Amino acid sequence: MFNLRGITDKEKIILDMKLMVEREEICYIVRNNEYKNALFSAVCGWEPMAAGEGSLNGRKWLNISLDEKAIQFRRTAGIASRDYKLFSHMNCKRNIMISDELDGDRHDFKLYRKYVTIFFLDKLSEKQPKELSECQYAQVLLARSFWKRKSLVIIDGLFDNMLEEERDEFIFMIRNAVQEFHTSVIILAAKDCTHFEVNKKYLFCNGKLIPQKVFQSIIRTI
Amino acid sequence: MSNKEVPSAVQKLVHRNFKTNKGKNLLLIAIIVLCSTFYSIFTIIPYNEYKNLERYTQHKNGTSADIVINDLKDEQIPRLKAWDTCTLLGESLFVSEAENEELGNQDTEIRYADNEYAQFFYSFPTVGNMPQAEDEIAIGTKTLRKLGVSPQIGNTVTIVWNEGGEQFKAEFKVVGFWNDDDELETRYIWVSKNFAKSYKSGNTVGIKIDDNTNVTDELEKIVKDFDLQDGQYYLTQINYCSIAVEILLDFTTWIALMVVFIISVLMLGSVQQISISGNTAFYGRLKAMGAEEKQIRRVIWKELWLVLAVSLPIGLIIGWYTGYKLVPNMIRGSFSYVELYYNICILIIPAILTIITVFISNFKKIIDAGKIDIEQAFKYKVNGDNEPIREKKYPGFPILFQMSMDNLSRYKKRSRIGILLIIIGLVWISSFYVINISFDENKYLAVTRISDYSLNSNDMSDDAMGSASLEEYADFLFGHEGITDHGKLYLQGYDEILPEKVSNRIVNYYESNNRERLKYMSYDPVWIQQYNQMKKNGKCRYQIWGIDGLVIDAIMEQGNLISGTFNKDEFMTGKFVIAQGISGDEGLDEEEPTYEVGEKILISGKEYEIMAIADVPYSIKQNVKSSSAGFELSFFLPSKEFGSLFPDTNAQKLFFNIAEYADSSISKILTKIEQDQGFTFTSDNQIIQQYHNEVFAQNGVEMLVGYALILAGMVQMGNSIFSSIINRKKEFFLMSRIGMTQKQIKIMLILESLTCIAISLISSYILGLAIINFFIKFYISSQWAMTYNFSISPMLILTPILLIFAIVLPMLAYRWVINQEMHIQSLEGE
Repeated sequence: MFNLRGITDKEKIILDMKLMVEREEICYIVRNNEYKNALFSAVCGWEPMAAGEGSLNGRKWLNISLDEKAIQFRRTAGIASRDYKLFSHMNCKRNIMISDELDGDRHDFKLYRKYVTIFFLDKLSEKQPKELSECQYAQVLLARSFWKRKSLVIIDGLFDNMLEEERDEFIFMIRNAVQEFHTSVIILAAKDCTHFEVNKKYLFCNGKLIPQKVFQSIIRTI
Repeated sequence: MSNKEVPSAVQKLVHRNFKTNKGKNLLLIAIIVLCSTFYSIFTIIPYNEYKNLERYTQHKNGTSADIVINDLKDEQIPRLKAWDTCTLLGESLFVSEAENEELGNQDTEIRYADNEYAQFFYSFPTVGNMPQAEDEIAIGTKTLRKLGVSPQIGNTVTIVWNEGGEQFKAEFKVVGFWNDDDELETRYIWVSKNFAKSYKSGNTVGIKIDDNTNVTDELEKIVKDFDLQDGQYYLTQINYCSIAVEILLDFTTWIALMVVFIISVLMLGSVQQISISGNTAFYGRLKAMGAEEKQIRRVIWKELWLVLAVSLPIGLIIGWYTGYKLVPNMIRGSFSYVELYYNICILIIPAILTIITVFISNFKKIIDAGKIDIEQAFKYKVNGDNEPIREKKYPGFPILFQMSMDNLSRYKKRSRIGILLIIIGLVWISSFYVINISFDENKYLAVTRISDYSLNSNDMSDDAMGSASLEEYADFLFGHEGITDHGKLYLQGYDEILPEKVSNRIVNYYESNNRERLKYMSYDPVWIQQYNQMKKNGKCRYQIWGIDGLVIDAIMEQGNLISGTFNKDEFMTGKFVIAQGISGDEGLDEEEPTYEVGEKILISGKEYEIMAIADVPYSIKQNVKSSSAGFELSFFLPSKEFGSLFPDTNAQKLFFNIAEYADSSISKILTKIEQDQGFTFTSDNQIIQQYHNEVFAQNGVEMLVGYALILAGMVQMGNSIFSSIINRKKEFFLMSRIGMTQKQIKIMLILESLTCIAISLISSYILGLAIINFFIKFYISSQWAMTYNFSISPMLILTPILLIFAIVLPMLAYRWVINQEMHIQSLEGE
């Protein structure tokens, strides 16, 4: 379970967050570009918090050293973002399993086969990143973020520019992975993709994170 | 927006960028300082070499005047002074030759001279004045000491001279003196004008001709206009062109300048390229704000000229001081002494060279920077030098090493120059180090000395007739305890008419191959004058040497024999002489001609037979001045026979070997003799010191260039490592966010730089060993004072330094990047 209650003063905007994501739950946050970096950094734990606390499966999430955070990400959390590029000199398979190498572990090829099935990687494994299309690139990024049954995966703007069918395919993949690996997922997206069936939904309003239901009741009141 | 104006917003960005690029600008300053320093050094050294050679040649000529005219009528002097191309005229009245016995055969003229004439002949008083009253003289310190008077104003000295067959003697008060120049053949005693006039002496003038005029043509006009007779005038102007050519043909300077130029262009270009790549976004922003290509270029040029304005004066100042410190050790040649010639204008050359270097190294890069595409500028690059990525696999290697290898291939253009410079530098230094340590002191000593000690008289020339007091010291020294072996050297020079066959031999030698050898000697007008005289009337200078003891043994070593045989018993009979020959590299055709073995020679009226032609060890004749500029023939006789021919001539030089225990006591005695009498002595220690100076003079520049190459390589590699880390700071954050720890990133960066250094070192070792074992070994075997001595010590010493450099630098750079990023984040937070 991912739980975050904090205030960040990034860019002089108070961002009061109360974000809770249960296991196997997909939290969908629609946000506008203004708060993109602040929200993403706060959720990932990169942004120093002015106040508050966070935990992942009961373990401290905020206010730990950079190296601890790196190891924590490597072992328990993953990020899928277009900014977090694949290493151009490694094939997709090695890119997905890179955390094993960084940890000094052997590759778990049995587990990898499972990933191939969930993320449709059969034709991509041996390819180099430069040989991938945009969608295929996103697929590999997604697989990398889930590698080794991560507890939390944060997906940032991965399918903002995709067609609806493509997005559906990705949501399908994510949902399968969540069920298979019991992961909590936070999706940050620019557009409100209401047709997705997701467990929870948050929206931004005046720099604050508000649950979709509360937001809709506010709108109705207005 | 006009082309010339840069909008204020752009101006602000430029200032901000200048501050942001502090590191790069400091690096550029360091490189330009180094570059201009080396340019200055390599300008100051040849300049001083030229000036010293010019001085040496002028001193050998005896004057700095272009033309000297004797016996000019009084009324002609003002007319000559008013001659349109005459810039300076010095006037003198000849009285007589000084005939004091103490002066021996030293040419010493008594004259009146005005200030200009005294300066022309390098004999202007540095203490006191020129004489005004009839009982006053100005005189050189060496002449004074010979006359037994200490150089002090007010002291009196007795001068003897001859006038019309009658000898005169008078006492004069010293009113001025100067240090006699060792390179001058004739010395002067200046008297007052009134004193000189009373002797009805002839006028002599020295004139300087306008620099833009051809002196030979001008002399012809003067001769015609003043109706001068042959022998009444002579041209002394030196052949500047020949001196300049001699300096320009010293390829070491050219190589050094080329190396400095290439290194500087590579380094400056690389730093600028990296800086431009790093500032792509900035230039894109400028363009987006409306700046034109020209304006962007102007921004970069402006920044560069500012850096140049700071660094160039620093480099020139450092170069000036270092250059003048190095001049005494770097200048090669047979000068009696090396003088420093300060000329601030000479710095124009290194300044221009530096500006050209900066311009050439940056021109294309800045042109390209102006052409930057806005979209490209803001795009995040992952492909380093924009080269296509090829798949590489390094199975079994840890991922960090693999990543570091990949990163290296991304930035290979940048690393390549650094690696190349380090390789060249290491190989260069190792090669010259081997040359340095292969100089063999023992071989050098074997050739440059024939005994442990030698003691020279204070006037070693072929007309000085030796020194009576040296003869007395010889008796004292040779009887001293600890002296194991000794010998004396006598010398007497005189002019003799050469047999026709000998003179023909000499003429053929110098005038064959289209007068090639004669043309080579044209830099020395006195030599040419002697040669022409020999050609005209057969008159040639003979140097007759008397030898005994260990000097005979030294000459008769079998290695010195060019032709004939050495038979000491026959030689001691006094019927034979040994002629000096100079062996050439390519057989008999290359030998300087003299008499041949078996031919008869008349010396001072007595006939001798040439027993052998020998290559006489240099150390025997060392420090002896030739009155004929080296154009003479030398013959060696036993000293007993020499004494019968020249009974008044004393020893010029003593040689002796000593037992080890007596070394310090003999050394003390010789030091005291040197202080009291002005005799100079030479010991093994002095020769070894001189040898080290020569080694430094030969290899000093090369070693400096080698160190500069390594330094340049390290700076270039450091710059490449540093800038690649700065450029990738975003990448490092992404790496850490997908799970790479700081330690892992640091290890990856260290592996990158270690790989570069490892490539450099391995290549240097392979290439260095090959070059040392083949080329250097071959070169050393062809050198007379060298014994091949293998070593790769410089590489072994520099290896750990380079490895430490490769570990420390990326760590520092990474820490700096992280601190900068944190600083930026904290500023953004505010």
